[in-house]
Amino acid sequence: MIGEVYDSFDRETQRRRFWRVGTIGRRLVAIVTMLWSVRPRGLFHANIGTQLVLLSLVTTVPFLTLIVAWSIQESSGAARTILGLSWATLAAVGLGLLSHRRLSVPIVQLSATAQRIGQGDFTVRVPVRRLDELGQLGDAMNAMAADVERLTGELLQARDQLAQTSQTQREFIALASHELCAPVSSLRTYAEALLSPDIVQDESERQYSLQRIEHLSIRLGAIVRNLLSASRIRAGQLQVECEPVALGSVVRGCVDDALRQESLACFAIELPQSLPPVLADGVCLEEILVNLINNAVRYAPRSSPVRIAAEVVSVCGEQRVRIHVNDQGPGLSAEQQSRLFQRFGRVDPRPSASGLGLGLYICHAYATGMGGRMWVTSAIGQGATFTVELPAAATSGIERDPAR
Amino acid sequence: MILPGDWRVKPLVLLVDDDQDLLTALRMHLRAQGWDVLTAATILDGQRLLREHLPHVMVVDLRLPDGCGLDLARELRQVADVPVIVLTAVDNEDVMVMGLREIADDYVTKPFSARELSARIASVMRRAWPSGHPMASTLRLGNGLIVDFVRRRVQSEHVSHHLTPTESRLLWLLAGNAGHVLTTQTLLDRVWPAGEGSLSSLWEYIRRLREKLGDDPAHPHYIITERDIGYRFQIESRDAQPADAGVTP
Repeated sequence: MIGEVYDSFDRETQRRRFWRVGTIGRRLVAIVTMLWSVRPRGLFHANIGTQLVLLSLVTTVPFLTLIVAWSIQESSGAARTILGLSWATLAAVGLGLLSHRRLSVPIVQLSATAQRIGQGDFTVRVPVRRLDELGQLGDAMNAMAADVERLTGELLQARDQLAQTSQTQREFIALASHELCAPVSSLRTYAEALLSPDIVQDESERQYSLQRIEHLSIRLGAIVRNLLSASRIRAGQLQVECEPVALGSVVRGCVDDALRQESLACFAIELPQSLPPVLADGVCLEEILVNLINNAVRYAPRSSPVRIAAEVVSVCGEQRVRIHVNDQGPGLSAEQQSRLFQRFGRVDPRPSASGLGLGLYICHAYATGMGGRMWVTSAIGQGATFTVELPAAATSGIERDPAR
Repeated sequence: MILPGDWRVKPLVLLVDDDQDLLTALRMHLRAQGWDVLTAATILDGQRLLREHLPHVMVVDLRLPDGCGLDLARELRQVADVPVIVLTAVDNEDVMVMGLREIADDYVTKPFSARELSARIASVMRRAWPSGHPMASTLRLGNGLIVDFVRRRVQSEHVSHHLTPTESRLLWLLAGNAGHVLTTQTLLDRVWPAGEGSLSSLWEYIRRLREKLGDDPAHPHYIITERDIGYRFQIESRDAQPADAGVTP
C-alpha cells in the first residue's frame, strides 16, 4: 500500500517534473522562435566566421540550457554541469573562431583579389598556403590573373603597334599626296599658261615652262616608280635577275643623268682599272646608284665634289666589289642612321620636309635581293659614305666594259 | 565704294608656297590678269615681305618648310582684314576644323587649275573691294597727314603715331569704305571676329584714332559719327573721284 502510495507519489512527482521541464522546453522553443523572428537581417550578410560563431551559439545554448534546467531539477552535480556547460560554450565559440580563420579569411582574400582583378589590376595574387579546395581555388585564380595579365599586355602592345602603324600610314598618305599633288599642280599651271594666248610673254618664258614640264614629269615618274617598287618589296614580290654588269658604264650613266639635272654638281670618280664586273640586276643597280648620287648631290656643299669609288675585297674567300658614294654634307647622327633604311624613314622627320622616305629603303632591299649588303658610315659634320657591296662575277678579272 | 585717285592701286597678291615651279607658273597667270604678284617660299620670307608690303589677297600653302601657312595668315589678319586663300594638298578634316574656316576666306585643293585659283582670287577681291579698286597701303589724307598701314603709323608734319594692330584694322576698314557708313555691328564683327569686341571698346578705339589723326571729337574731320547707325570715313572732296568708281580692272 505504502509502496503503491510511494509509487504513485513518485510517478506524480516525476510527471510534474517532466511537465515542468516540458514547460521550460516549450518556453525555450518559443523564445528561440521569437528571437529567430526578430533576428537581424544583416546576420547573413556578416562574414561566414561570424555567422558560424552565432549559429553555433544559437544552436548549442538552448540545448545546454535544457540540460542546465534538468540538472538543477536533479539538484545533483549542478556545479559540475555548469562547469561542463562553460566548457561547451567556450568550445562552441572556439569552433566558430577557428572556422572563421579557416574559411572566412581566405574567402575574403579571394573576393578582394577578384575585385582588384575586375578593376584592372592584374598584378595582384592570392597568397596560397593550403592544399584544400580553397587552396585550389586560389591557385586557379592566380593562374587566371597571370593569363589575363599576359594577354592584356599582348593586347596593349598590339594596340600600340596598330596606333603607330596607323599614324605612320596617315603621315605617309599626307606626305604622298603632297609629293604627288605639288608637281601635278605646277605641271598643270605651266601647261595652262602655254595653252592660253596671253600668259606666256616671250620665247624664253615658253622654253623655260617646257623645260620645267619635262623636269616635273621626270620627278613624278620617279615618285610613282618608287611607290610601286616599295609596294612590290613589301609584298615580297621583288624580282632580281643577276648577271655580270660592268660597273664603270653604269656609274658614268648615272653621273651624266645627275649632271643633266644639276649642272653645277661636281664629281670625283675613282674606279680601279682592274675592276671585275659585279653580279647584279642592271636596272636595280642603276636605281641604287641614282638614288645615292642624287642624295649626295642634294647634301654636298657646292665647293666639294661627290666622290664615287670602288674596291675589290675578299669576304670569306669570296670576291666582292664595294662601291662607295661619299659627300661632305652635314652628316648623319646615329639616330638618323638607324632610321635611314627603314620604310618611310626620312632623315628629316618634319612634315614639311620633302621626300617619302622610300629611296634608301628600296636601295637596301635591292642590294639585299642581289645577294649584297648596304650600309652607311657617317658622323655629324663629317659627311656621309654610303657603301654597296655586291658579289663579283667570276671572270678572269678584266672588266668587259665597252665604254672603257 | 569711292576711293580717292591716289588711294587706288593695282591689286597686289602675295603667293606663299614652297614649290618654286608653282610660284613661277602662277606668277605668269596672275600677271596676265593685271595683278601685281609677290612670292615667298617660306614663312620667314613671307614675314619679310609683309614688313614692306600690305597685299590685297594672300594665297598661302598650308605646309611650308618652316611651319603652317595659317600662322602667317593670322599674322597678316592682325593688322588688316585681308582675304586669305589657302592651298592644301590634303583634304584633311582635322585641318578644316582646325582654324582653316576661321582664318581663310577660301581654300583650293591641289592639284588645282590656275584658272580656278584666279577666279577665286577675283571673287574674294570683289567681296573685299566691291568697286574693283583695292586701297593702297599708304594713304595721304591732306594737310601732310600720311597713314602707313604696313608700318602701322600715322605721320603728320610734326609728329608720328604708332597704330596698334586693332587700331590699324579699324582704320583700314573705315578708310577702305570711305564715304560709306559702316554700322556699329559691322565694325564689331569685322574688327573683332572672335566676338570679343564691345560698344565701349569700339568707342575707345574711335577716340584713340581721332586723337592720332588729329581729329577734334566735337567736329571730326575724318571719322564722322552717324548717330544711332555707326561711323563714316570722310575723304577730302578734292581727292574723291566718283567718276572712276565703277571701273573694274
